Amino acid sequence: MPPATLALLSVGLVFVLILLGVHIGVALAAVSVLTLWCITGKFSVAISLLQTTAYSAVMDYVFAVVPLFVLMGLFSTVSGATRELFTSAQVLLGGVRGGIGIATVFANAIFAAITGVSVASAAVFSKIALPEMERVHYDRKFSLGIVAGSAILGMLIPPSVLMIVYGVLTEQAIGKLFIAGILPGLVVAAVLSLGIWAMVRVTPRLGGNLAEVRRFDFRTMVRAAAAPWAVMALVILVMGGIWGGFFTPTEAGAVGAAGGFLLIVIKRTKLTLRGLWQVLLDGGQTTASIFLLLICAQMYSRMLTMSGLAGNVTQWVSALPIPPIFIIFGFIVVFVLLGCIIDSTSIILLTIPLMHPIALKLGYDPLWFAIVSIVAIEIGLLTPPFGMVVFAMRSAIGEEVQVEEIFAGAVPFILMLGVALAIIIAFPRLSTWLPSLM
Amino acid sequence: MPKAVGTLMLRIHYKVMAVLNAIGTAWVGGITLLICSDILGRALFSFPIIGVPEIVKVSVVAIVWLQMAHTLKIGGHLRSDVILGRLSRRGRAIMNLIAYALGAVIFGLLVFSGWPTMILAWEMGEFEGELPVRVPTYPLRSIVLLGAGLTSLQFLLLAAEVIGGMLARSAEERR
Repeated sequence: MPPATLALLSVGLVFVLILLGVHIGVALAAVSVLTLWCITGKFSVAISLLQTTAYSAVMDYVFAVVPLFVLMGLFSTVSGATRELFTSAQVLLGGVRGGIGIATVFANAIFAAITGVSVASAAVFSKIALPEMERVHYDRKFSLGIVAGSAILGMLIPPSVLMIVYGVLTEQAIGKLFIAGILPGLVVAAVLSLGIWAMVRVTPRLGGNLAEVRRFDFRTMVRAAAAPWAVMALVILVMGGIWGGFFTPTEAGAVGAAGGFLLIVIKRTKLTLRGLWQVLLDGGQTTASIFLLLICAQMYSRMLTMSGLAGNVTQWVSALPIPPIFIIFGFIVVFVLLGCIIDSTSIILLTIPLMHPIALKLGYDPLWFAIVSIVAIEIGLLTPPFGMVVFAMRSAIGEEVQVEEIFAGAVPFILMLGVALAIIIAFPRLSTWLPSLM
Repeated sequence: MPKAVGTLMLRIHYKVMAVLNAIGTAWVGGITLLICSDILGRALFSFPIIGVPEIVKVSVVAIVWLQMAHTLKIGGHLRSDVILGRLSRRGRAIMNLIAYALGAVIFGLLVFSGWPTMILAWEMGEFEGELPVRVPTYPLRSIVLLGAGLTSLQFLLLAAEVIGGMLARSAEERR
């Protein structure tokens, strides 16, 4: 069998194993070893891929961004910054139609700049924003949808785990990807806010009873609105530092982690020894699970390159007699379909090593394609049956909510994200302008 | 008392994994301090710390593998449960068994294939970077294998748990 055919079969086998419930990293590693064994005929060569990748593939200065930003996110969350952000946005937007919903989107957009995972946002905001919306009688499905839809921002607005994984797979500068994500992230936030406002305008019942929204006197308002100044300063320092070239992404991560710790100190948040132990373990969990995927994905993409499959597919697709943009649309369909069965990191790991060279060959800007892919893949987080955000919300809220209810609530938000995606596709400058100034 | 000894060993195994995980994150804290002092030194006293990129680079490997095994224990490694969630108890047990066995084999092979390289690295005192910043990397090789070995062991324990559960249930059914 020619190596490329073998590799194609192995792509199928990875899917089967993942669907069977094998750990995604293990599935990628096992199939890579097996395919390499078939191609080279030498078992020792195949298994040495395991140990060389486990060691050398992670030995990179850039990779330190992952644990550092994870630590920043954990510290900031522990410090209570999230609630402050939400309260501040709520005070400012309380009087607007759907104000608490829009406040959730705003707070999520800023929280997204300190966390890299949507699941974290979904869990936190289920606990903070949902009770507030319930109190003024928001429609239940609507409020569930708001939390689910705005959690998507967690992975769109940098730092984002998906961008890091994407950058590693395609050997692009992670700093540039981060900066490229800022404007598209704001576009998504704007579309979601407008969508919420419009929905409440058309059906006022959704937004509950405006009269019951908490009123504050002027002094409390100012104080609450200004409370998150420290987090805002941290976000501006970290992102501005990358953009202005003062920090490498790794250094920005370190500054962010130190800043996150300072937040805890400034706020005099009580951090018990037990709490600290929990932060240490949580940090380890997030980091290690991402890195197992990163390591194994590199085995897989090395295998695909060695087999020549990546090259063959690129040639074949770019020779197709259809307009290039249809190929991109085709990719988006694949992303959304895959989003129904596997999680977003795995989608990137499985598809981008094959799709990125094609997009380049077709003459598209790599940053634009990266952002378009990430937005499209993120939509998959909301679609059943494998909507990670939805499950994260379910486990945060508990028994009193049905998974189906959250999925139903998320439907209008999936449509809004579709609109945002169309805008990002139509205006590539949104993704390329800021990085071009770096 | 073989059973008591077994429980004790299991508890030690869990504790070791948790402690290694915590050391990993604490190590991240260490890097944070190191990089921040480098930035401050550079900005305020134009006195950068030499070798920070090399140290950071090498640390990533150590951090990741210190955290790998415990993450498996607390169910942190990603897997899809689209099909798993829809199976009967028995079907789920079988699928879990396959997944855990495969995991044990892969991480076991990693240790097996990495062993000679590790021995060699210790013998020749492997390092990363140019003088004057030479970071020794042979301990890293051992950390990688330690992490992979513990992960493989943890996969085996998970598999054993599944088998134990299946046996207990079939014994119950027979009664």
